[in-house]
Amino acid sequence: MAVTNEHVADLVDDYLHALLSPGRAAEVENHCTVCPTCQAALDEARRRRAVLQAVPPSEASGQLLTGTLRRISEHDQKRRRRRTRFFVGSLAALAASALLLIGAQIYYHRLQATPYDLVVLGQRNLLAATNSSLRIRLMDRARNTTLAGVPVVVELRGNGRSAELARFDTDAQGVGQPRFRLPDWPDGEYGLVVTAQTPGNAEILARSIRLTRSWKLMLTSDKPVYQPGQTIRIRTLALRQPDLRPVAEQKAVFTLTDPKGNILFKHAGPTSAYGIVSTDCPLAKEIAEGAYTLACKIGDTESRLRVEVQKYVLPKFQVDVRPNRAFYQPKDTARITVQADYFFGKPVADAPVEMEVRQDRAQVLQRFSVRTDAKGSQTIDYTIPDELAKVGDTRLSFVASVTDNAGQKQTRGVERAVTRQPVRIEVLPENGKLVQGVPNIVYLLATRADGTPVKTRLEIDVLNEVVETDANGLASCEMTPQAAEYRWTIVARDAEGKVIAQRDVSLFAGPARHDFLLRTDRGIYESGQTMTLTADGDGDEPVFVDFLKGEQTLLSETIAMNDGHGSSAFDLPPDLFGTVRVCAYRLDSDGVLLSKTRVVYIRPAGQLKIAPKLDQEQYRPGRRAHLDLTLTDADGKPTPGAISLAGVDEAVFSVLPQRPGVETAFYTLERQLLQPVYALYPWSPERKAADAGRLEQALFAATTRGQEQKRPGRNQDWRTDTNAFANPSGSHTLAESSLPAKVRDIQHTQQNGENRLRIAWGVLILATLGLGYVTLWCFPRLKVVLILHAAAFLVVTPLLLLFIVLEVGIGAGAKESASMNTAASPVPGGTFRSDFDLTNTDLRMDEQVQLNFNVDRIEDVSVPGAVDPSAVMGIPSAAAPRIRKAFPETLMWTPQLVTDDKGHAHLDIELADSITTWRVSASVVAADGRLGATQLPLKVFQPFFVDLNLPVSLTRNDEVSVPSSSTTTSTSRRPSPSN
Amino acid sequence: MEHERDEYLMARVGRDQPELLEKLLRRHASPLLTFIQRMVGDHHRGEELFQEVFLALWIKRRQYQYPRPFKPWLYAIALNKCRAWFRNRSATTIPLTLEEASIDASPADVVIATETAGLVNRAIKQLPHQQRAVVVLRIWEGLTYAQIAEVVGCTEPTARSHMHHGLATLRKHLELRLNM
Repeated sequence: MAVTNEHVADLVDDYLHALLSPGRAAEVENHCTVCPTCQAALDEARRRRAVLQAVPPSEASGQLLTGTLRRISEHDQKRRRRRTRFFVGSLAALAASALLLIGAQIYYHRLQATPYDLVVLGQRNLLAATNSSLRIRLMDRARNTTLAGVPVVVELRGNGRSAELARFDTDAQGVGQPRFRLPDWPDGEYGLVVTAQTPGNAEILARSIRLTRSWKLMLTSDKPVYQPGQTIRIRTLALRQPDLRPVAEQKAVFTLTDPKGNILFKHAGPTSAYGIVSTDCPLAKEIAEGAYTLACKIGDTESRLRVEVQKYVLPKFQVDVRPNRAFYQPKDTARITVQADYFFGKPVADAPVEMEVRQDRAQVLQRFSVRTDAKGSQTIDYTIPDELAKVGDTRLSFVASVTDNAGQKQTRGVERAVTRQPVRIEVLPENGKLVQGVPNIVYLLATRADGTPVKTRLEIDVLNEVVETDANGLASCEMTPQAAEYRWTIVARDAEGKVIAQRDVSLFAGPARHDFLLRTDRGIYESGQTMTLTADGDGDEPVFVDFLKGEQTLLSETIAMNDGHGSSAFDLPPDLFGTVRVCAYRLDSDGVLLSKTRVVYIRPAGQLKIAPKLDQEQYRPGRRAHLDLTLTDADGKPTPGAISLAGVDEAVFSVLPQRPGVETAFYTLERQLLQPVYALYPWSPERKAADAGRLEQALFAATTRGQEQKRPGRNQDWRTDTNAFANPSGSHTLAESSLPAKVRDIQHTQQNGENRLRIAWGVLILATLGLGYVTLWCFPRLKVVLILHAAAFLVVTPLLLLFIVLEVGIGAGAKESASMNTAASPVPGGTFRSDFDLTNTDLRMDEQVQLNFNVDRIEDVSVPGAVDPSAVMGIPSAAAPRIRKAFPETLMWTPQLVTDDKGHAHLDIELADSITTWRVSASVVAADGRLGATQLPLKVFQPFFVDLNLPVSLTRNDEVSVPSSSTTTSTSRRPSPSN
Repeated sequence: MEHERDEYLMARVGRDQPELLEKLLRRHASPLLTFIQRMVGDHHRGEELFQEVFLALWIKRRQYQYPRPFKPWLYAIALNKCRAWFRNRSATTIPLTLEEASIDASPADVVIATETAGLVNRAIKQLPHQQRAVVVLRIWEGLTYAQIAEVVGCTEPTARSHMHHGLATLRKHLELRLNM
């Protein structure tokens, strides 16, 4: 037995409370038997344990036990009540939810679009502060009727703004064509909202449109050609489209770009109240020669102008080459007159003339050497070789060079066609294509190769008819085709009965039920004039007509048809002028959209006239000219405006020609649209030939284009066809119908709603099952029901989840499919398809080509200490001879001269020392955009003067011979001695 | 008998036989009340916690897993209730109510017993909660250290350690006051 010598007093409590291991407990026990101290501690520990254990336990009273049981019982009762409330409440909520879902199910099931369809046809991009027009149609799809007399409001909204554009009632055909003025709002996207007060809810169609500004800039320079070191004077006239009002206070940026594309000059400035902005661009003395590009940009609109920069000396005289005919046939004798005149008005007499005849500008066929007579003229006869133009046409160039007594040489050439077909016959059905069953007018145009009219007799074999062309070379006949195609042979005979031309042509005729004739009473109209449109075809479907300028509808009209014929007369609004596209369209009885587009030209009203008046007919160099300008309108009433003046040496235009006074044509002609007209005839709005009405009608008939859109769902009544106005012209970029979008929206809403309802039903069923489970869990005695419920839950839940997943997936797929269908079926945009085109591009116009060659001329230079010419001539001199020093090419440049209220303006012009004719060009613009232009010659001359013929440039140590010439008012010329 | 064992009775209580709960209640009422009162040192609070312990036992009756020893489970619930009370009790506590001495004892013995009981209660109160639980469960409830470890939620050596430190504290406290 192990006895420890160490005291174990600290372990006696652990020993008594069995905390020690058995071995340690034995040690403690043994030690205490031998150690009185530790034995005493053990005894004390035993006493403490006894004291502790002697503390009586607490006795739970019966009341406590009863109270505890009661509390448990109350707790159970409370819990049961809570469960009951929860169950009843949940059941009520589930029932309410079920009712709600049933209601929603019925709502979505019965949801459908209103039967009204609002169709809007117009453009998506519109010009701010201009007039525009829309075509709006309203119908009831359920009853397949149009809605007449329904109030419709057209509004524009956006960016916190709102404006009512138009308010009208639909006509008997459910159509309205409101014309309204667009507000002057900043560029941007706005909402076009069309609201029709249909029975019940209003039918609303809202689409986004874009308001923009568009200008047309005419960039002009004082000259077409410059020398290094000179100043380019630039002017821009900015007019707003389409009403051509001056664009005021807009920043314009001018740039000059050299031939290599480097920008050499940039200047910005605002436009004036008349839309004019100008600047001067000085050229460096050392600068690359070539074609420079001037550009002016206002907003997004840029206008460019090419000018030439080269070294040259101004010619002192000009050469005119005039063939006696506009074209020739082989073996004809061409009589070429060469005329040479100084720019101050005197002829270049007794001067050698060298003339070359070239074929196609290359091969020299013959050379002539003659001299001008006293009038500066000479005539050369040249017989056209028979072998020319055996295959096709060819062109001959007549190039004449004249050298005056001072050694100045000027060259000019002209071209003429050589053809074996002197007369051309064009056949122009009035609508491009014949229409069966209705009388069609067919125009016949007989012209020479140069486009000049031919008065002749035309025999038409099919019609067995002979017609005579008038002074304009035009004849017409009427036919009512019954077949789909005709082949005409037309023979032209001269007065002796000789055949001078023959033409075989095929004419196609469409059935009247699928085509219609659109006839205008004129080809060219005056602004404000009454236009009569006639339509012939089949059926009673109306013909809708839109007038488009640029890309915007400015006017809409409807031709009501009665038994295949309809006519409508209306006044052209004042702001409708220039080149206007007439777009007519209708739905035939088979639901085919037919459209016709053609072009008419409407002369702008009241163009301005400038009456320039110089105080003298002729001036001396260095004197002052007084120019009075009077501005009047077409009625002669004085009108204020801004005049732009430029005075340029006429000789400059011999270096490079420039066509003056084209403002009106620039702003009002759309050359691309008028290309069919130009291909037939050299028409211009200024040309007002006698009895030209029929000719113009025939020419503009050539611009007619037909289009036919066949769509699925034929045999639809036009009143019920949703796509009745599906962009008939290609320019109707806003072709919207409210019904498809509405139906799509409703279907989408229905689909989404029903998908959500399926999910909601699933959740409700799950909740019901869950509630049942919870309920039975709370009331566990209903064990059978619990088992059934749990089984149902286990079976139904996976099925339900599977159903929901599949439904959501199908719903998403259906939604995607719907969106794809929606994307794939917008309102179809029409694609232009020309059925046939009678434009004959073979016919070439007489073209006078100005050929420019190197010209050796001297420029006026001052000679210090020159001998008094009057003394040389023996003329008594009253004063010292005047030395001419200033020889500018541009005499004056006034970009904007504003007249007074009476349209008067005057200008004092300090004349240069040049003895020449100045071309004074004046163009005018009024505050309302009316234009006008004119030019007049300003002659400067003196009875006796000396000219030097200096080379363009000299090199140091050169020996130079300077020919000089002196001129007097007498017809004799005395060449001065050459140095 | 097997049918009278606590564990069996509790298992049947867990199967919704509330009438058997009363049997368990009566069987363990006094020891449990003693334990709770030793722990909280407050007679009224002890009775309140006693009711809460049995209410919790009733609520959690389905969580009981037969044949888990019932007594440690019951005392674990009681100890958790006491701990919760320790956490939430206010700063001031009601003084210990002295246990009444046996009615058979003489007046002097009653006074001595009362004083001794008070002394012991104050000594117990000096112990930290964990040590107090171990000491009470060992001395007055007679649980083994393994059962104590299960009730307290610690290992048996830890329970022994708590017991050792608790006894040392009691010894220090009682030696002075009992004039030993």
